[in-house]
Amino acid sequence: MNTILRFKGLLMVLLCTTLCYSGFAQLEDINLGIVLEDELKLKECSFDKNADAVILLDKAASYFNDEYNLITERRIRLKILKEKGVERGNVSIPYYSNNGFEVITGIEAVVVSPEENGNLKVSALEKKNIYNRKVNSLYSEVKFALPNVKVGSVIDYRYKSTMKNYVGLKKWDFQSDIPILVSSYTVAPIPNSEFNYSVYKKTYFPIKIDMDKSAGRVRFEMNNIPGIRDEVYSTSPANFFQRVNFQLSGYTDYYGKHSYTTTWEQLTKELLQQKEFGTQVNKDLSGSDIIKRLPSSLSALEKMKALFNFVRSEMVWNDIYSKYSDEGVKTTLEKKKGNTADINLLLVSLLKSAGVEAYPLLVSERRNGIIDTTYSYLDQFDKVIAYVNIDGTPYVLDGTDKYTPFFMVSPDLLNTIGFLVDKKKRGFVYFSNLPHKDVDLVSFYNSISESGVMSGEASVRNEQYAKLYKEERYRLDTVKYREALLKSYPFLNVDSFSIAGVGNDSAALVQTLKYSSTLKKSGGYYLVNYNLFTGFNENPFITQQRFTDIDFGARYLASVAGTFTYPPSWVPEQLPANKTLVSPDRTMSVSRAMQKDGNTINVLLSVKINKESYSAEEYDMVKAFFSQMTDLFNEPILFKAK
Amino acid sequence: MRRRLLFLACSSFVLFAHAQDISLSLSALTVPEALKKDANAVYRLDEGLLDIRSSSAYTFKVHQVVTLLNARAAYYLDHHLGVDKFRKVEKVNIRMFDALGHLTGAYDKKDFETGAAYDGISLVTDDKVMHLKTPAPGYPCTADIQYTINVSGYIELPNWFVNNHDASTEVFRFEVRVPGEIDIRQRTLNFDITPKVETEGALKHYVWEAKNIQVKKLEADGFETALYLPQVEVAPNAFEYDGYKGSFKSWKDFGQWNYQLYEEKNPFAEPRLSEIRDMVRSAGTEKEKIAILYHHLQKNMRYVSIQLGIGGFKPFAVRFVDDKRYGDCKALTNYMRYLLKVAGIKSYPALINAGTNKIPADPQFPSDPFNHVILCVPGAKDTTWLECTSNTNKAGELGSFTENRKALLLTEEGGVLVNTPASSYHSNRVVIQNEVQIGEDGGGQVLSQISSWGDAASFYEYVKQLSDDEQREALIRYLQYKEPEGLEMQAGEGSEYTGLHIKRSYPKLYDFSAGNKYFFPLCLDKLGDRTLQAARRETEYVFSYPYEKTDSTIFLLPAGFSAESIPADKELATELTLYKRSFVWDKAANKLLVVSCLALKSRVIPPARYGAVVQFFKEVAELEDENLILLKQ
Repeated sequence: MNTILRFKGLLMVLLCTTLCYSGFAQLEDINLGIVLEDELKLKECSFDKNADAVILLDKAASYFNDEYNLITERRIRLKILKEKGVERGNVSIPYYSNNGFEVITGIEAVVVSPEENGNLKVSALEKKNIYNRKVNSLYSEVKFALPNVKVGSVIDYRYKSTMKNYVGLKKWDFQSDIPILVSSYTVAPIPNSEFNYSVYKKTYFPIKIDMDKSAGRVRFEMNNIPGIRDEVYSTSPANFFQRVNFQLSGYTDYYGKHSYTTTWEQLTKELLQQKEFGTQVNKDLSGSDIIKRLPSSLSALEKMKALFNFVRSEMVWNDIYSKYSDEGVKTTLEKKKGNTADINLLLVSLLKSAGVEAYPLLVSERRNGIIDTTYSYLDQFDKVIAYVNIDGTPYVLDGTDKYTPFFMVSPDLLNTIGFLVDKKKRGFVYFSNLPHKDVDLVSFYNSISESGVMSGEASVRNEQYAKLYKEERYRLDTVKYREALLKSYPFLNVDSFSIAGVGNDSAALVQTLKYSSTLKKSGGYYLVNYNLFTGFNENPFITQQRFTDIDFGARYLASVAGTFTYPPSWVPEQLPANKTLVSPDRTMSVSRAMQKDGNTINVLLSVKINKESYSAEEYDMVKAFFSQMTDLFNEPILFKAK
Repeated sequence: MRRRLLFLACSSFVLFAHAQDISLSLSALTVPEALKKDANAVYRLDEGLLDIRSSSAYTFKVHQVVTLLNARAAYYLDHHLGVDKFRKVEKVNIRMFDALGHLTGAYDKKDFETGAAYDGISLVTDDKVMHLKTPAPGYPCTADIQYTINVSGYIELPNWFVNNHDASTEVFRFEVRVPGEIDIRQRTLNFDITPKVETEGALKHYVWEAKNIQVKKLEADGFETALYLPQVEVAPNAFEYDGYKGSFKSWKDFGQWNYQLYEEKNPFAEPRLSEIRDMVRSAGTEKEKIAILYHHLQKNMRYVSIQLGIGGFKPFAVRFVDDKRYGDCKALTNYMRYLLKVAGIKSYPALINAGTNKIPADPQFPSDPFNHVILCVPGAKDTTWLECTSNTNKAGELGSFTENRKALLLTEEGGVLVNTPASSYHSNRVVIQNEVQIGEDGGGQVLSQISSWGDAASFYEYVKQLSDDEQREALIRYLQYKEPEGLEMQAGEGSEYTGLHIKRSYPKLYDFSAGNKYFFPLCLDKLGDRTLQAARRETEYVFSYPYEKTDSTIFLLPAGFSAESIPADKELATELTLYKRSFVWDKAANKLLVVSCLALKSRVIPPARYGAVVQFFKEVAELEDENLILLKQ
């Protein structure tokens, strides 16, 4: 099966030594399993050093057959650079198999690996080692382990995806978690059809777009794109991939012209007519038990609260994200179970049936990315929730979200954009600049004994989003929660810990601790650390590069107010200076103030971050600010015992 | 080896009974107060009826009535049933009741969704899982879960656990009916209960029953939970799986059954045979031959878990591995075994329960607790153990994953239960040499040379595989490096250990200053463990491995700086740990040498010693957080 150097005579040599491709279109035409000399020599990726593998070529072409099936032929060629990259020899191709929408065929793969003796070994994937597994009712996976993969191997494989129709034409990513040298996508739409595309990319990465009108196709190519890995305070790396999105707007065939939505107005109209969407929203549920049980004396707000609580506590979400109701709202109400659209369209129709002004709202959760408002692509959204207007005050309610109080926006939607689906009120809803913030308020009282033991009592108060995040973690695991809270403060012996406000939407989460601690002693000084329970003990921004935007979700506000009472025989050194730091763009500020009052030192720290998110380009500024802030907070108070 | 998948969500499993008898208990209001203590859920009934028909077939009927007291128990409503070719769900009925005991929903087999089971490791398996989430009509509520599973081939029998970590149990019952001629072996663990045994014609009938079992919270960071939960364990004397008959009467028998699955007549053909012989031709000793072939395996093969056919018990053919150059632990172990055989060296696959916190196989109770296979090469003087799935282990080095426990050798004479060697803390060691050049402005450069052995090397091997920024993050997060401005890393030479050179640069190396006093970090590499939390324990605390870490750091002070005072030498010790730190101050050269050494001599800390060990690490952390105070003239 494996013939060593079968293709040696065909080896081609490229002149480019660092293997950054710029326009070597012929690479795309090389037969599977033929390796260029420079590819063999390649030891690291020049623009993404230490990457465990590099994609030499990721190429696909999509076209339609006579049945208007969407066919995509894809080729992926990558080189393994490190031991960790070897696992990329295990390939999984997920596909949407519900109702036979998509099938994967024509899988071929060849691996070329250097042998210990310097020869090349060429191994092909055998059909019988390709597995197809159903993951759930919607998705399946084709899986295979490629033979003979090790550091230095070039893996080359291709396959064909056939989808029932144009709906599968969504987007092409030019970026991945590892660097890509050449990424190209060619699409030939259905004859006599129109389609729109939008490119999302950083300006400093060029893109080539070739429109071949006579052949009816367009080709996109980007080169030398570094990998994006998980980063702190980020939504999902995939939101930042360089990419092109598609939407078919219509086509003409034997039977006439078929048009698809191309404006937000059309999208609204279409959705409201669909029986899985608009029809469900308008179902009259006034005869249902739950509506009948609502006292007529309730205000609109009280009705909304009652119905929202009913839906979120009684309906079970089946973990499926959808913009369309599968079961219809009546069946959902009966079965008490459904996808996001089943549950939320039910919520909308219940609210409307009770006389509350409510609309369906298309949203895209943070991990799904921010929608592009210039293109009316329904695919950009991942679910539908409810939008309610009561006397001019808007509420956004998600019946599948168990914890967000009705007066707040779900943390999953912060800094995203929704679209309200209604004939008249249609429009975008921006979830930024919201009234609720991430608020942490710490206060403590400490007294220090002659022997250098500090005992104290602290109250850590989390409000709004801070409360929401923490409460969820607390509900999941109370022990781990406490450990996480105290992790940065191993020097504290905690004698008591209590928490209040859990399960109460209108209260803050308040943790009360009593503790003692032996003060750190260094060079004849006692060191007092006042950076307690802030979470700012270390700079979270460590990396030197940043690709994704920094997204804190909500604006942030924190303060620490505390006192340290020390023995009369002690003398403090010069106190850490009172200081205020403001970021160059003035959106972030931090201050420290200290004051001696008899045998007590009062400390006041405050942090304000007045912006929810920062672009990747602002990373250096944010990193520097956080670094200065942690330095400021970590500077101890020094005492000398007489 | 495959990880067998039974039920994923609820660790104790279910079955039927007489609905009319228990209708009252379907109301959450009837839960006895005493059972609510620390409980998120209460099993009103937790019953398993195992009907063994033959050595290849049984029916398992489960009936569980669970009252969920609060939303933290919601995971009891996530139902998973593992199925495969030999394991079918005959029927399943789940009914939900509200607090008053009113029926709010009923579900059966057609409501379940079936998909491939994912065990967390494997690329492909034959296992499937049926899944259903049932809605709670508010809390408290009660789920009545009943299902019947038909099994047409087995190796093990289901055990029945009392899931008392967060649930209490009102009635626990486990029954086994088995033809007397085949019978079962049985025992209980953490459970003071003896079965009632009766003979019913040709059948033997075992009944274990217990009432009002209260919640007993498990402690984290001990051995795996199965070691601490009360349970009834049953094991067959004879079994048949996929046409392969076996016996479990002794370890010898079970080893025999496995051995046949590993046997191959002609694993290699020419010219491969000569190639293998050529590889070891120049090797003088058996040890050298083993090292050469193990190195060949590590350089060329990769670990891929694919579990297909015969329940994942039979390894891929040696030729397949040789051709494709991948395999799971069975396949790679057997491949290595046959490579050695060509070189004239005999070796045995050894089944083992791998994992740092796994429970040991019991010599007195043959069963199948194993999840992994390694290779044992007996020698005239010493035995060499090989972990064939690792690309970095040195020959003969097992590591905490498999060391110091029972392994079942598969020999032509059958299974032999033996001990794998235990490594000492000295074999998992890190040696760090730092040179710190402090600048006149308080900046600094740190050159580190790190050598590591055994399990302690795995972190550094991992770091080598990361991209630039990931390396930076790993060193700062896991080794508590003070965040450097510049960081460069290079792999060091050396085949006996993992070597690494790291260069860190800091524009400001000191932490803070007061007047003319500059407080520099005294320990640039923290040796102590900072994760231990002070708490009383009833069960042992388990570290991954014992270790020894040494750090010698030379501080080179610039002109104009002098040390205010040098801390005194220190030594801390408990029975299981040791920390030493000493200083040498060379005033003439303005140079300070700090040598620290930390040893964790045993990875398992008995509860009685835990407090002292926590205190030890706390004191180490305090010492390591001390400053080196320099005076600027």
